Amino acid sequence: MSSFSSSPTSHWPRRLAVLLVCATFPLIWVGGLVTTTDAGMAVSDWPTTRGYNMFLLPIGEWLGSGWKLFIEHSHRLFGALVGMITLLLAAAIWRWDGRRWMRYLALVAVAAVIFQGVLGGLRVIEDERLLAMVHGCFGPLFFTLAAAIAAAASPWWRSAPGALRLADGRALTILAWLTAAIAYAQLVLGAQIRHVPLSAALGWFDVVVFFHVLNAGVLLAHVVWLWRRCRRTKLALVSAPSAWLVAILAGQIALGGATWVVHFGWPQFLQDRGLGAGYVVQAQSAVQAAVTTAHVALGSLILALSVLVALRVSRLAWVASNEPASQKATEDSRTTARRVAAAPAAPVRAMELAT
Amino acid sequence: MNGRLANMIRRYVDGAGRGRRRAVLLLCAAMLLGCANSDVQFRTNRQGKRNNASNLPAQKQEKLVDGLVAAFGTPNEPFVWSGTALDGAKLRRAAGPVKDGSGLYREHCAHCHGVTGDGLGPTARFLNPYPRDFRHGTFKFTSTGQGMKPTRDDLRRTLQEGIAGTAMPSFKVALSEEEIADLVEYVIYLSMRGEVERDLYAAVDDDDEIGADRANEAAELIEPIKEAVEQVASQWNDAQEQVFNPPPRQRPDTPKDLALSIERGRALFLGAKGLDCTKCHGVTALGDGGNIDYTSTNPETDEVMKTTPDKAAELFALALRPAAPRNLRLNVFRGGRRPIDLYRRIAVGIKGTPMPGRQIVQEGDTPEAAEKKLTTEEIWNLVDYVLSLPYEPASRPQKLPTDHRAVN
Ligand code: HEC
Ligand code: HEC
Repeated sequence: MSSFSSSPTSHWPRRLAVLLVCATFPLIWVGGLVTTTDAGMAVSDWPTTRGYNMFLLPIGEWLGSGWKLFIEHSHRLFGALVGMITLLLAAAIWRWDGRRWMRYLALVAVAAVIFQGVLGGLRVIEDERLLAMVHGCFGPLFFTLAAAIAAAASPWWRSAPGALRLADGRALTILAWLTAAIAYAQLVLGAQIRHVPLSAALGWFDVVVFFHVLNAGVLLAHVVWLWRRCRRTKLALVSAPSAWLVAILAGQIALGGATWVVHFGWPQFLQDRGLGAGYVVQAQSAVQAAVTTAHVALGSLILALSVLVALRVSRLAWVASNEPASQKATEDSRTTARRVAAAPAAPVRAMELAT
Repeated sequence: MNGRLANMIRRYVDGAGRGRRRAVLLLCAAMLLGCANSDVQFRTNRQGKRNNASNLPAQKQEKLVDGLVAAFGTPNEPFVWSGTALDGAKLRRAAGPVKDGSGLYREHCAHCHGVTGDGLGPTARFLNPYPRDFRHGTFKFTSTGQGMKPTRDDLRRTLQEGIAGTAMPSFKVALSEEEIADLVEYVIYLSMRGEVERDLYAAVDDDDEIGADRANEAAELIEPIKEAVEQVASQWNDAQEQVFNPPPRQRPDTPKDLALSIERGRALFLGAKGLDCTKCHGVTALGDGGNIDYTSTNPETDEVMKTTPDKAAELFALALRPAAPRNLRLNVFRGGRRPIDLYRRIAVGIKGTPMPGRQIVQEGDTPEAAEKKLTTEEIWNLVDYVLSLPYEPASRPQKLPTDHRAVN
């Protein structure tokens, strides 16, 4: 509590930002589940639920009206919770974070969460495929924004220790942002597959699937490349998440294949070799829902992680290039400490410096 | 508004037939209805009754669509003449946009089978086999005799169990029994509509004098529609009573009897009595007999491939694939693995595929006639052999397991 009231800087923005990230990720799962199980239209009114103020829907009706209503209403409540955390975070940042751009970022987050909520509501009222798709593509962006705020609110951000080891950060920065952009493109392509319109011309689906698979390969190449470049910096703060990125993407590609199989069965050429010939697709089974939703949610995680890496790399490169040349020669704890001291009121925890 | 229109039309249709004034009224209403729901519409069958890919001229096309709307309504407002014996309440729950109380078909089926039931949903091209085109009225896995429509129970079973090794899912988890019944009704509706459309296509195409009065033109179709609907509806209704059941069988009850039956089945499979199983399924039953055949549930595919293969791309929306004879050693039977299922597959064939049905010896057949046919016992021998195949090593087909049922 002491840090809350007495110190001009506070851990609260960071704590709330991390809380926001932790709350948004499951929200994306629940949202994915809403689409996977076709629960989106189980409640046809909004912002009310079945005529009730959404916070006053009797518990019995929430839990006892079948899976679809349960999951859709839970998504609404969860979304409201995330909205409130975002408001608190914005307040905390305005109160304790002096950086102007950070304050604007907080405002953007508030606007984004409201936008996303309204989009979700309109999707229900209008029952419009396009809205559902935009809602699905915007969620990961918000999640990524939350992760970005958490990164910028961390003590590490202010000091960026080890920056000088990044001799030439430009190429790496470009690579990292490019990777993030490809990750997002992949997500948008995925949403096209998921929300393929019934009126789509034959061939539209084929094209989207083709590019989704192609882009998966491109993304994998990028992520592996990024990881190898990050490893060379010998900075765990960038090399660790980039390594995670490779691992999660590998899992994600396997999940993508699994998503296909649980919807359309095993491909014929494998069946000819005896694999999966007896497999029966189970519509809306728990396995189908879990695999599909996991594939959707991991996509968001990959985007957020790649943006995190890109942000950290950019920060390091920025710090490195804004240091006087003389200081670049030696990087020791003294320079670090000086920079820390120079940064406006940055409480650097020893633990973080040690990494 | 549209609901009321639809009701009005249905009343008129059921009472129509004679009064021309009524028919005109009806068609005006139908056209209003068709225009009001322009967002989701049935796609017209461009292939038509003949192998003639060119579109009908716009006026004829219009006439055809008007007639079909009058007979079947629209994807949002389906209705049927009472003679079809289809249940309108079920149809309305299955049709329409996805929301409480409607839209089952669009939620669960249309992305594969298409809104029209033409097997041209957005995902269709990727799937092998392709999703069924209901418009030809041919279904593979039925309990009815050769050339017959399936029973409602056959369709229900397909929806409930899915079709192993294909994209056709099992809806056991996703749908209740009532919902499955609604969808079965809707599949029949789409199938009837598709067949009537093909009949009307010919009638419209032959009409050389299309007048400017749209309602009048469409009214001319009332009679042909009624005829076509009655015909296809009677096929469906007959099928419900025509389940193909073999006479009760004395099952081989000792391992030795079973081995004997399998051995006889094997001989038949390999060509005794002139049977041609190996032509398609191969001597090893791995499905490698090498027979190339484009028969599908669309009656035109094979003929087009045999006569004018270069026209196929123009005529069919999906690239035709040769029908693959099944590898019988995988222990996967798409139409069900009960002996009775396999009996029906072998005796009746698999409709809409090259897999042929057999002639069965009847009482009173002359010995010469009987010679060319199979006895029910021989078909059971084949069933026993097919069921034993997964356990018979492909390289040494001589050695047969004695009791495959124990493993099953
Ligand atoms: C993922 C794609 C997919 C979905 C979704 C799907 N089907 Fe199918 N369906 C298929 C395929 C593929 C076949 C063809 C299987 C074959 O030829 O062996 C098929 C075949 C069928 C058949 C023909 C069975 C026979 O005996 O010939 C019926 C009837 C059918 N589906 C109805 C439905 C209904 C009703 C729904 C919705 C509840 C549905 N399908 C959903 C892919 C799908
Ligand atoms: C002209 C080719 C042809 C001949 C002859 C033929 N089959 Fe088939 N058979 C097929 C094809 C094609 C299929 C796959 C049909 C489908 O589901 O698309 C098939 C499928 C089967 C199946 C699988 C049924 C299921 O439920 O999955 C069995 C069993 C079978 N055939 C047995 C036989 C037997 C026994 C004979 C001889 C009496 C025979 N077939 C003759 C072409 C043939």
